[in-house]
Amino acid sequence: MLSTKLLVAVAVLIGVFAEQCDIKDLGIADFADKVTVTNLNAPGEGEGWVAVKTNHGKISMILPAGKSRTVAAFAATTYSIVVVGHDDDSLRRYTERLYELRDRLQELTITPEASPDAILSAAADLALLETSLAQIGQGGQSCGGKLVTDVTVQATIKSVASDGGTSFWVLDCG
Amino acid sequence: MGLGILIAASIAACGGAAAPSVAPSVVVATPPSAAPTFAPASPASAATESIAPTATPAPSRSHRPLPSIDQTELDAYLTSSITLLDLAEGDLSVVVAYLDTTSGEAIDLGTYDLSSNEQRTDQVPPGTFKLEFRTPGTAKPQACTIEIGDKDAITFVAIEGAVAIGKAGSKPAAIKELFVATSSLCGH
Repeated sequence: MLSTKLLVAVAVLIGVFAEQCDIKDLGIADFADKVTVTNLNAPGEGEGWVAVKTNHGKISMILPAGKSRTVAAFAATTYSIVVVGHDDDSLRRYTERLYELRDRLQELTITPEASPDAILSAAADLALLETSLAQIGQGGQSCGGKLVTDVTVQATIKSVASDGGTSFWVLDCG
Repeated sequence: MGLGILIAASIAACGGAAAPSVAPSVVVATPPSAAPTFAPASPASAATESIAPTATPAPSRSHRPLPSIDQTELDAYLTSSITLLDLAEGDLSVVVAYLDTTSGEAIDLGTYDLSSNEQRTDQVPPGTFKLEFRTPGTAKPQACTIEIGDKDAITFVAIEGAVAIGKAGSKPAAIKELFVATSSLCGH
């Protein structure tokens, strides 16, 4: 007999883990709430760092100029989007932290004996990744709203140059 | 028991069949006049990428009835999390399956494709999962079968030639516990 718990677990996980699955003739995407973010910059004008958060998950990604990405979440009701440029301090700190972690992990793969402190430190950093991500873009452009069943949110980002020569991102959640 | 059956069952639940008593209830947002049909899906991908249109696109809407979930119940159910981060040079694909421990059957759930430096966190229900990590240039994928308990937060980080694993609150004593290939967190 079909386990109700398993059924719901799978139904949820399908949405959580994959926008679409090739399972016979069933489209998992039909169950998903979606947010599409489009970088309206012309190719070569600049890529943006974008984070999309829903009730049950979040994803951060670099969105090249002229590209769009769709993020799917199962049964989500709210979303928020943050965009920052590469010159954002919080993004710079986050990226540096990632590279430090990468280098330390890489070194641990070739180090037969590492100190207990080094191992614990790497493990602690692994556990803090999600927290680090949450600290990005608090001063950046953000928008959000409610997800409506069967409607894909269409958001756009575009970098705009100011008179002073600096540029900033404009985010539109539609 | 195949995933198709599970999905079909979930569709039936969406259509008003018996609601789960323990797990979140699923109901139809717009009652269908007939059994809902579902279009073939494209290759699995957690986030798709395409060339941008020249103008701001309008919200898209299909006309198929879709399920809605009791958020309070769902929140109570999704108590754990999995974080994936690609710190390798190339793209990372993570094939995910849910393991039914009673039948021993692995249920394929799809594939996540992450670009370099991409990070994602998803809340999941506790359970047993199998994750298979594939990176360009790596002949053999690395796999991890892991039992995720209530409130567990598991992190996987792909680097060149290895995948690191972390669990919030754990204090590994040896290097081998930091990597999927050797960690005791992974039953493999």
